[in-house]
Amino acid sequence: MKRKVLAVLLAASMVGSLAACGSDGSGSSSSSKDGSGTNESTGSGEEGSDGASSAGETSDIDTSEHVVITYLTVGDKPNNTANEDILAELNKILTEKVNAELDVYNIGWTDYMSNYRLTLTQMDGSVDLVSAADWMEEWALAKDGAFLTLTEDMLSTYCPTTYSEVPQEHWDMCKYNGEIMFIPEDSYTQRTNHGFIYRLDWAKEAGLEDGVHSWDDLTEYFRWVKANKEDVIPWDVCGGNSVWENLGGWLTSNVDELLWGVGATNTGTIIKQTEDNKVYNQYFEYRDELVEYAKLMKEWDEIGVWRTDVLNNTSSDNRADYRIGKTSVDQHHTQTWTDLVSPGIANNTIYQDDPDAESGFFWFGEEKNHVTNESVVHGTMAISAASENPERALMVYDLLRNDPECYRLINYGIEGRQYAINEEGERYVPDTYDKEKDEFMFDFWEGRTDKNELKDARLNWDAIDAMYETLDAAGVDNPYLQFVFDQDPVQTQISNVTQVTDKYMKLLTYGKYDGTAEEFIDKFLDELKAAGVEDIDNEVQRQLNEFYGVNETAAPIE
Amino acid sequence: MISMKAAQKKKKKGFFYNLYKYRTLTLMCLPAIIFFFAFNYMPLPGLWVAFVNYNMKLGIFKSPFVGLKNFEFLATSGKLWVLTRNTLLYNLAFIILGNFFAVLVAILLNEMHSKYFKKVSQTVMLLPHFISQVLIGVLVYNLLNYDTGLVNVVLSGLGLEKWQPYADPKVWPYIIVIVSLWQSVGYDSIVYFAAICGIDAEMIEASKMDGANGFQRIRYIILPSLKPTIIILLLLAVGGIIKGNFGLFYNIIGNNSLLYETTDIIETFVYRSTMVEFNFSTASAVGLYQSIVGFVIVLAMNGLVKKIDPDYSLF
Repeated sequence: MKRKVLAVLLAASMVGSLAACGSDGSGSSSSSKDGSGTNESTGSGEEGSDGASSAGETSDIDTSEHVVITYLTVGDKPNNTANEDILAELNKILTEKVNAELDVYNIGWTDYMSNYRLTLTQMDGSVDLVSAADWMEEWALAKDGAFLTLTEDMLSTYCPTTYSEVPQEHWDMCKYNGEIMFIPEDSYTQRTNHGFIYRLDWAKEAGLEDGVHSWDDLTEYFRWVKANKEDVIPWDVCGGNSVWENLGGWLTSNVDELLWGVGATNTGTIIKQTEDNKVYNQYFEYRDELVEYAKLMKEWDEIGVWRTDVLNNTSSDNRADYRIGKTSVDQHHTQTWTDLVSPGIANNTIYQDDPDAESGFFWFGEEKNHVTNESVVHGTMAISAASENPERALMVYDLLRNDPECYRLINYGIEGRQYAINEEGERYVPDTYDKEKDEFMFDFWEGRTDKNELKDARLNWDAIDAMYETLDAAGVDNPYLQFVFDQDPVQTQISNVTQVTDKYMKLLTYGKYDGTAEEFIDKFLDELKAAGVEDIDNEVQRQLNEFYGVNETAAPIE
Repeated sequence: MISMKAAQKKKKKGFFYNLYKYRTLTLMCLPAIIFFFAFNYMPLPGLWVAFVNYNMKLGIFKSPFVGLKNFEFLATSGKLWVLTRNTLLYNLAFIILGNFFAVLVAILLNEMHSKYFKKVSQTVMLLPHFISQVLIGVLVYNLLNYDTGLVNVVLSGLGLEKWQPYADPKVWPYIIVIVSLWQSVGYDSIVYFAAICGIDAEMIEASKMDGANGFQRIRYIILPSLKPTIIILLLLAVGGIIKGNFGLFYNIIGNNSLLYETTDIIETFVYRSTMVEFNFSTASAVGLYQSIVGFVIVLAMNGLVKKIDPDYSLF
C-alpha cells in the first residue's frame, strides 16, 4: 500500500508537472482574474470621469486624494539615484498642481518586448501611463485590450492643453475601431527613417570622395575597411538584428516608387505609391530585386562584413563599438545618426581619438530620393486598461508634455546637474556632470514637443539641419496609417508565414544559403505560398476595401 | 500476491478510513500535496485559454470561445511532425544514453579503490550540472565559432582546415547530445551509485567466495539489483519525453535558422512564434498538446511495464 501511495503521488507529480507546462497561460489566469476585478474599479472610475466632465471646468476636478501614477517605460536605468532625485523634484510640482506623484516602472532592453507585454498582460493596475510605439506593437496591444479607450470627453477634461494642440487628423490616426487609444508624439521633429551611419573620413580614404550614397558605394566601403582596418569588423551586427530594415532599405533604394507596408508586419503585404489601395506582396512582386539582394548579401558575407557565425553572435554592441571605432557602420535611423555625428557627445570617442573622424549617413532610398515621413504614432502614450486613476494619469501627462518646468525635468533632468543653459538658450552638459552619479533614464519618448525643446548644443547642427532639409524635401506621407488590420480571420496563416519569414530573412540578409540566389528565393517563395500568404493579402485587401470604400483585388502571386 | 489482495481489501474500506489510518504518512506528504495542488492543479482551469481568442480586458473566461482554432496553426504549419519527431528523438537519446552512462559511471565509481580519486572524479563530473544553460550556450559558442572559437584556433594553428559547425545542421544532434550528457551524467549517476551502495554486502561477499570475478559480479549481482531503480527512473523520464529542454536548445542554437531543421523542438518553435506574435492562446494550445501526448505516453509505458512485470509498474 505504501508503494501504491508513493506510486500515485509520483504519477500525479509527473502528470501534474506536464499540466503545469501545458498551462502557459496559467500564470496569467490568476492575474487576469485579478485584472477583471480592477477592471470594474476602472469602470467606476470612468463613471466618475463622466460626472466630472459634465461639470466641465478643469478646476472642478476632484483631486483631494493623493495618488501615485506609475509610468511604464523601456530602457536601462543607470545604477545610481539620479532618477529618484529628479522624480523628487518633479513630484513636488505634480503634488502641488494635481496632487499626484509619478513613479517609474522600468523595463530594461534585454527581452524588453516580452517583459513589456507580460507587464501589460498582468492587468493588475500596477502601471498607469504606458509608453507605446509602433515598434512595440501598439496596435496589436490595443486590439488585445491592453489600453484604455480615451474618450474626447476625458481628453478635453483631463488633458486639455494636449487635446487642443493635437490636430483632429492626428487624433484620427490614433483610433482603433473608431476609438482613440493613444496620445501621439506628433509635434516633435525627428526622423526615424533607416539607413547606414558610416565613417565619412574612411569613405574618403577609400576613394569615395562624396561619401557613401548607394549600396554599391557601401560594398566598396566595406571592402576597403576589411582590407585596411585590421581590428575593425566592418559591421559587427548581432544575428537577427537589422534584418527587416536592411531588406526594406534595399527595396526602397531599388524599386522605382515608395512601398508602404499594410496589414500584418513582415508578411510582405504592401501598397505601391502609384496604385491606390491595391494590395501586392513584395516578395512575389519584386522577386528579381530579392534575388539581387541575396547575391549582394552573399558577397558581403564573403567579404567578411560581419562575423562568420553572425547568426549565433549575441554579444556585440554595434553602436557602442561604432562610438569607439571598432566597427565601421551602424544600421539605424536618422535620429541615431544625429547623436553619432556629433563630436560634442562625450561617448563618441572616435572624434577625440582622431581629429579627422566624421560620420556620414546613407539613408535608404537616397539613390532614388525616396523617403516616407514620420508617422505620428511612432511614439505614443497610452493608459493601461487596468489603471485605477486614468484621469489623474492624463493630468500628469498633460503637465509633463506642456509645462516647461516638468518637461525639462523629465527630459533633461535637474538644471545645473544634468544640463545647463547657455547664453543662446541652448542646453549643454555642465562640467560638473558625472556620468556615474548623474546619468538618468526616463525615455519620455511619447510626449516630447518642439515648443518645449531646448536646442542641444552638443549636437552637430550644421550636418543635422542639412540632412533634415534633404529629407524634408524628399519626404512623402504614408496615406494608409489610419488603416488598422484585424488579424483574427487569418491568424493561422500569419503565424505560419511568420515562421517562414523568420527563418528565411535571417539567412537572406546574412547571405547564409547554399546554391544559387535564384534557387534560394524560389524555395522561400514556395514556402510562403504554402503557408498561405495569399490568404493574408486577400484579407488585407478585403478589409482595406471596406475601410476606404473601394473595390480592388489583391494582385495574384505566382 | 497476498499482500496485494490485502491491500485491495483495505481499499474497500474507503478513502476516509485510509486517510485516518495513514494520517501520519499523509501528514508527511502534505507539503508535497499542497505544492502540487497549488502549482499543478489550481492552474488547470487556465487551460481554457487554449480555446479562446484571448483578450486582456475580458480575461480568460470571458474571451470569445473559438474551439480548436488555436490548434489549427500547429497542424497547418506542416511542422508538427518534424517538431514532435525532433523532440522525441532527442529525449530518447538523452534518456537511453543518459541512463546508460549514468549506470556505467556509477559502476566504475564503485569499483574504484582510491577514495581520493573517487571523490575528485565524482565532484568534477557533478560540476557541469550546476552551470546555467546560458553559460553552456556561451561555452559552446566560444568553443565552436568560426572566427575565434577554441577548436578553430587550434585547427588553424595546426595548419588544418577550419570547421564551421554553425553552418552545418547535421552535426548538431551529436553536439547537443554530447553537451547534454556532459551536463547530466555526473548528477544522474548519484542515484545509481546510492543504489549500488545499498546492495547487500553479503551477496557480494558470497559471490567473491564463489570465485566470481569483477565482470561477473557486475553482470550477475549489481546490474540485476539496479534493475528496479533503472526502470523507475526510465518511467519517470518517459513522462517528460515530449517536453524538450528549452534552455539547452535555445541557448545553444538561438536564432540560427540554418540549424532549425535538425534542432527545432516544440519548445523553441513555440517560443519563437509567441515571441514574434505573443499569442497566449496558441502557446497554451501547444502546451496542452504536449501534455496530452505526454500523458498518453506515460499511461502506455506503464501499461507495458505492468504487462511484463507488474511489480515494476508505477500504478
